[in-house]
Amino acid sequence: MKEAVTGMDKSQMMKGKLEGCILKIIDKSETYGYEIVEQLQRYGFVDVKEGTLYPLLLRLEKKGLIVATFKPSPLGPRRKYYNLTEAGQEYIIRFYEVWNEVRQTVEGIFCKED
Amino acid sequence: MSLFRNNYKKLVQENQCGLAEISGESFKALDSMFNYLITFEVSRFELEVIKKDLIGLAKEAEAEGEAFLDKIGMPQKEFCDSLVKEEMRQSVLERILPQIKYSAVWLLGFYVLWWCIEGMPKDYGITVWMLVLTFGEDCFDSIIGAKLRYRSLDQSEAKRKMRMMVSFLISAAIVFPAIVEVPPFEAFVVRGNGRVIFIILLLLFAAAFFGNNYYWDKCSEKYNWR
Repeated sequence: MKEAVTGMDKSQMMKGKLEGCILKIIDKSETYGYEIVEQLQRYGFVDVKEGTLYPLLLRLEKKGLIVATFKPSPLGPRRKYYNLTEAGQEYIIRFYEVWNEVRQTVEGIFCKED
Repeated sequence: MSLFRNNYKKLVQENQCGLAEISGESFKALDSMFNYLITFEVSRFELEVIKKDLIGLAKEAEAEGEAFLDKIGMPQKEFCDSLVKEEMRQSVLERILPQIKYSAVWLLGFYVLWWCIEGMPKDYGITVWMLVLTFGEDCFDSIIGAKLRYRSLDQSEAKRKMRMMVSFLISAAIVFPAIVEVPPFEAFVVRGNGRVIFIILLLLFAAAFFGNNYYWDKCSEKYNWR
């Protein structure tokens, strides 16, 4: 019983929302992998590393939600910068709507006064 | 779009140069990851796109004075497995096109060589041994060779060489009877006007070569890899 409580994984709960959050970060301004990781960590996705992010970016790119362009970086090697596509913009609007519905449902159950 | 050199080849070459610029632990890590990923039936073009990204990541890590594996922040196997899960399956066309191209090249090569050695006779054809040499290696690679490619991240050089040796010996056993001119292998499978057969093989080769290049260039349009 105690294990079930302590084993409740915050990162697991947040994983499902990661794609939407990544898209929102990219929507704010053109960005690259490391910068996205930094921002996600700052917002509370502390477990996210570049290894977690890269497969997700690959998936989003394949879905046509983001596009990548190679640009020179101050460090030397050319960096892959990401931008949101039109489909990506539609996706984050829908994502936020669904997220609000889920949040209201959960809050409805937890905050309801008997 | 280049007629003679497709984008896949360009990307492969670019990655080879990129990988050569990486050294030490990062190189070892990348090399074992690439060897591991290739054991899956993954899209070859997508694999090269991923290689390019990872090489870039390794270079960035080197420039920042960080270890590549620390930058990834997770075990190599877990990372590779998560990539493979991303629906990067190899299409049937992608699997067979390069084989068709190489088969067309070899068949044309063997035919022209032996046709010329025999003095370009008017009546000539494709022999059993030409077909064995052309398709034997392909069949071996797709049936047995794939099983020999052991799926592991920690492949030692000795183990890899041993597998290559076994692979070579089996290939040699397939082609040996053809080379030593065993009578059944000398028989013609297709026989007719030597020049007509040559022209047909040449056209087949051209179709396979340009078709292959067209496919890879079309495939590359899906990705921004430049």
